[in-house]
Amino acid sequence: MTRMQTITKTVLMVLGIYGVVTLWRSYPGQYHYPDEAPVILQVLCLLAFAVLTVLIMYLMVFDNDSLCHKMTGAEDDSARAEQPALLTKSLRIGLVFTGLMLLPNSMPAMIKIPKLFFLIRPAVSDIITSRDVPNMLRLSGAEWFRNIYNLLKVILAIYLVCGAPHFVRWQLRHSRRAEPDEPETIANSHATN
Amino acid sequence: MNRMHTLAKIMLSGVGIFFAIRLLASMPTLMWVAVTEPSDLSLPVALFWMAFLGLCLVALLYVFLYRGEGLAKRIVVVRELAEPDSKIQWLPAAFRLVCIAAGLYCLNLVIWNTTYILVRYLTHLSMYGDTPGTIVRTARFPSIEQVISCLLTLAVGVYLLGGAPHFVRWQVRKTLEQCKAFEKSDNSSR
Repeated sequence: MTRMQTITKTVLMVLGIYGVVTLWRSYPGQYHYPDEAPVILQVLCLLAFAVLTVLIMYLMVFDNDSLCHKMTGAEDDSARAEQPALLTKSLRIGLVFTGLMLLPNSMPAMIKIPKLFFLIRPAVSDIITSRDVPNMLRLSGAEWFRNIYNLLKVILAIYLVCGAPHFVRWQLRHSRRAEPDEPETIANSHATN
Repeated sequence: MNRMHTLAKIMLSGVGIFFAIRLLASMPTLMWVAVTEPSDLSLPVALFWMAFLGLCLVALLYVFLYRGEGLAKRIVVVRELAEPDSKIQWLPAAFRLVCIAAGLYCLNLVIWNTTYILVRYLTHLSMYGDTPGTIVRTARFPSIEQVISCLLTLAVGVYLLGGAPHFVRWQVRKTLEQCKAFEKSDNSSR
């Protein structure tokens, strides 16, 4: 993998992750009274967003080689990066940047999480004594969606700010497997044959 | 095409892809609004806008992804830049740059939120004639969560804008550890 391809891979991954987060932020179900919309429209909308998410994740994060080649174009093979270290470094920088960009927007949700610990006890006692759903759980579909989305965003932001070590390791192994043999290796195999 | 052109092409393609995602995301919203609130947006108008956005999407992808090379050559007029001195520790510098950019974003958000809160507060004062105490008590505005969130974002923004030395040191150490660990495992697997 050349240096430029490494940079392209990082850019694609950062854009893919950030793109999926912004995609679900504009999901209409959380703003436009989902209970009033026909069920078929809700299902179609959810399906469209799910398909888009899968497409973005597949083309930009998990299997971005074809898009990467399209973006960098034909490059000199002598510019091959010496080590996978460059990919590790650039990926970590890119992912930390994405995490830091997501973090300030997740701040209000982060503050609500400790508040939950104080609300859980009365809610549980409410369920036990009155065998009824407590008020804090009586939320509309849109509110449930917003809360789950915000919680997932907080988790993602913290994981990315920590450098997403598992994801980087997985990407390195994946790119190592996808990479064709290096020129010396090919030459050695020809010599032995 | 030199390295600077390739970099410009990568950035242009990235911009194109990002805006394509934003355009794609707004299409189902148009349909949703047309069905749930037809008084605001009728179905034919929504369809027209969707077709228009579709055309914009095609043009965007064509210009940025397929014709990015020509655009990159127009943007980058300089020849190949000299290789940076390899003795320069670029990893901490890159992390610091990232932190400063994120810090600027945080401060931008703080300014935006503070302006929003102030404008709403002043509107309450002038339109309803409420006293400041009444607004906080009855309208619960600004809420304690909003204030804490704003202050936390401000603190994080200032720390990041200062270069976040502890965070950068920790990230660099972890990155180098990960590089070494991968090299070790890679060598042992060969």
